[in-house]
Amino acid sequence: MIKHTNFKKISLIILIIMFSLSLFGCADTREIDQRTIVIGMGLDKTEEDEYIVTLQVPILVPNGATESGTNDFETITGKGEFVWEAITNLEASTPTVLFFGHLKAIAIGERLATEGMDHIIDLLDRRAPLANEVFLLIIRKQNDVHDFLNQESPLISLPALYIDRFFGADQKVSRTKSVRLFQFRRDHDMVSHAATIPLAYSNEDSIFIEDLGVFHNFKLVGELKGHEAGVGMLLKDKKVDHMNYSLDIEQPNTNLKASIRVNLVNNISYDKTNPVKMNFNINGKGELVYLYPEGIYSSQETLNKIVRELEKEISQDITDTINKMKRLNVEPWLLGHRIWAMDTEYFSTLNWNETGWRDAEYDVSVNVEIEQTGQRGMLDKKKIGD
Amino acid sequence: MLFKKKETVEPVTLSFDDYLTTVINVYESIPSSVSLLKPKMEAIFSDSYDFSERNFSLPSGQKSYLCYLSGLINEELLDDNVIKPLLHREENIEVSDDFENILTLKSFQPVTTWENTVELILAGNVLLIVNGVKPVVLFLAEKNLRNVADPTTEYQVYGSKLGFIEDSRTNVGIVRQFIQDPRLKTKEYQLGKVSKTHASLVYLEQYVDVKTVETIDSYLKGFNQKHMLSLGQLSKYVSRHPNSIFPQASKTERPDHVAYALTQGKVVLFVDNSTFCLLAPITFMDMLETSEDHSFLVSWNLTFIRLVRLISLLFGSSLPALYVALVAFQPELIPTTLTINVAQSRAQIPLPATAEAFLMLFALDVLVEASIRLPSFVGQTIGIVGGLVIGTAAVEAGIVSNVMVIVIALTAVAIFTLPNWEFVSSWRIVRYAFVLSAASFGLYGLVLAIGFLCLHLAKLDSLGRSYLYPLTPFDGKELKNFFKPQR
Repeated sequence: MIKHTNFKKISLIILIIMFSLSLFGCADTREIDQRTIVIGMGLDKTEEDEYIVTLQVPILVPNGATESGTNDFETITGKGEFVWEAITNLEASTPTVLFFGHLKAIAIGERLATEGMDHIIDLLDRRAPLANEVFLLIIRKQNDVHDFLNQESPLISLPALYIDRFFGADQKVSRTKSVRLFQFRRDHDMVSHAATIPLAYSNEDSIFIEDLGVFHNFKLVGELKGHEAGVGMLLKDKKVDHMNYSLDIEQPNTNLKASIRVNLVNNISYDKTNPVKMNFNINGKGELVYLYPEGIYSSQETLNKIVRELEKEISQDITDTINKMKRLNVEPWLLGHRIWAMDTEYFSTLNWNETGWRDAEYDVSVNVEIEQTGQRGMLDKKKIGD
Repeated sequence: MLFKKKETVEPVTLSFDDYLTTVINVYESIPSSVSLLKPKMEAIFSDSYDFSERNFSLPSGQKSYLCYLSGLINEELLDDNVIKPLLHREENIEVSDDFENILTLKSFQPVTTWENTVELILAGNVLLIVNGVKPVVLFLAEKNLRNVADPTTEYQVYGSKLGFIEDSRTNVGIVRQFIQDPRLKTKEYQLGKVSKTHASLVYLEQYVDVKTVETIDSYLKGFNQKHMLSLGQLSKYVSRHPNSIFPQASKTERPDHVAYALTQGKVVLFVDNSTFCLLAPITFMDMLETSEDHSFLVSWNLTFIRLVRLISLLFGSSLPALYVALVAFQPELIPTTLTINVAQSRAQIPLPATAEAFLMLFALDVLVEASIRLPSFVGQTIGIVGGLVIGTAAVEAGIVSNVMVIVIALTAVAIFTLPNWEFVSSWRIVRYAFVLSAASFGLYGLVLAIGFLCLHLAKLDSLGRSYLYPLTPFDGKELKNFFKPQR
């Protein structure tokens, strides 16, 4: 009897161990030094219509072997009729297996982006070892993608790590916005089939990441430049922080110059008319960071003038940006999706992608309050209660 | 023949009673004549140079004989209180009761059986026979005891500087100084048919679970082994899971720790010839405690220290395995800059990460084992040489990576924050198992190993108390009390 119980117990333990081990799915037991760590990837097309893939890999030398102690890197390039073919061609020229687990950014050439990159996105999305959290960038025509990835910034040695840090630091300047692979895919799968990807270029000294490229059906169709990128954030995310405005206000005696940093919040609503009428009720809080000429203190009257001018400027920016996208008949801010999600039936009457967005009406109201005037040096200011 | 044929050896019967029957007829009564008794005693204690005898005649002409084991008795007392009075006695001694009027000794008793007589001589007493009078045993035993001294293995900053000694009765006395309460109960046992080691069970009535006392009492009464020479032997005997790598009783040589354990409802086992005592039942959390923890004036210090120990336990047991799993299987989970650093440090290392980890773990354990029993001045030298060899030289020679050295150093330091050495040793074994599992199946293997370990710990108990209490069964109040004791 005891023997029988023991047999049952041992069988059960063996079964549990067998089942547990059969769940083990990682047969990839390659050591870290047997992998070529790919940090950045560049994709573009040659004039002969061949795909050109550039990989940025750190050179692994033992610690202390380099004089400067910084991470040195190398870019390797491969060509092929298809992207995958170009990547496999690259495997032939690397000593160890390509490892995409640490891929930080994918830089796509403007030429390829304009032609359409649906098949690229499909490949990137389909390959499991490639995390869908990689940042996407469009490299402007003035740069070769290979040159961009070869550009060493004096601040951070690996360009791909520079991009990762740039977006990871949540840049306070609202000139551009990070887009990860899954975000691009997600936005593109919404009703408007439009999304944005930040644009970048480099010169001899440094890397610049600013403005947003607008995609429709995986093709680069336009750009959102400067304030337009910030306005895009305001329309899509319903808020934008640290937008900078420099105003030149005409006065009878002397022109007033002011710089303001403003945080804006957008309250979106729509009227169920056909075409739809959208209402953007924008409230903001600002900080006066510069005022010229010296000696003009920010009296209530001056502040009112600045606020009026600022509100006008913001309103104008929003109008211009929306009109620009309407002309392209591309709506990359999920405004249509908002309507679709709230009332699908009503949305179907709008014929959004064909004429709905182009004919949509909108009303913009902006209300800004200056919270900080920054007059620390004003010695004769009145104390509260005097 | 390649292998020597195994010879069948008949088991030797070592029973004390059986041995006596081979030397003398134990069923005969003990003779009252020196000429009859002396040869028998010499036969029993043959080939024992410390067996001492003295023959002398009383003024009355009666022959006398004394025998004892030298080194265990107080010979001065024997001379002054036994021999001198006897030599001054001029009348005949008729019966053993006459000794009352002759000897200036505190206690003695007439002999009863052979077994009892021999046992008493072995315990350090003296057998006296005067021709024609029934022999008596004189209680002159003087144990070789040292003075109470500092505990040497459980060093504490704020705790008391008092440690146990090798005598269980003295140790019980020390505990009584800490807990002056009639509820402090003591029971004694004689363990081992040959060694006849004295053991004491101490507990605090109304604090202890009656079932625990009954269980351990029945264990000790049923002790049927021939020897009981070490505390470890007793610990394995009272453990319900002797094959587990985790101790189910803890050792201490600190009376303050024992006193605290008694108030927690634990039982304490003292054994002669050991400066340590056993505490049971114990739990996983008890292994993270020291009696010193309660010396802190600020309770948050205790919370911090215990959290540090718990985190150190996690680090100390799983860090090498985590390193192996991440480096060999899932490097994508390491932050990119660290990945590059690790890859750079491993660029010229000929060994795979698993071999590197095993090599370093083994080197660490060899170092610990080599230095642990050495005198402190040699131990320090071993530490320095080992540190240099394992640390700098191994890295410079390109045998191991410097990241691995950091991992092993952190592991070694972290695990030694645990106050119980026995527990530390258990986790050292677990560490190897974790590395093996991680080397075979990566992070999944490590998680699986941790899962199996949790299952084992959950199943374990110490004298009926769940090992993981207060986690399972969950007792939130007790758990809170562990980290932040109530006033």
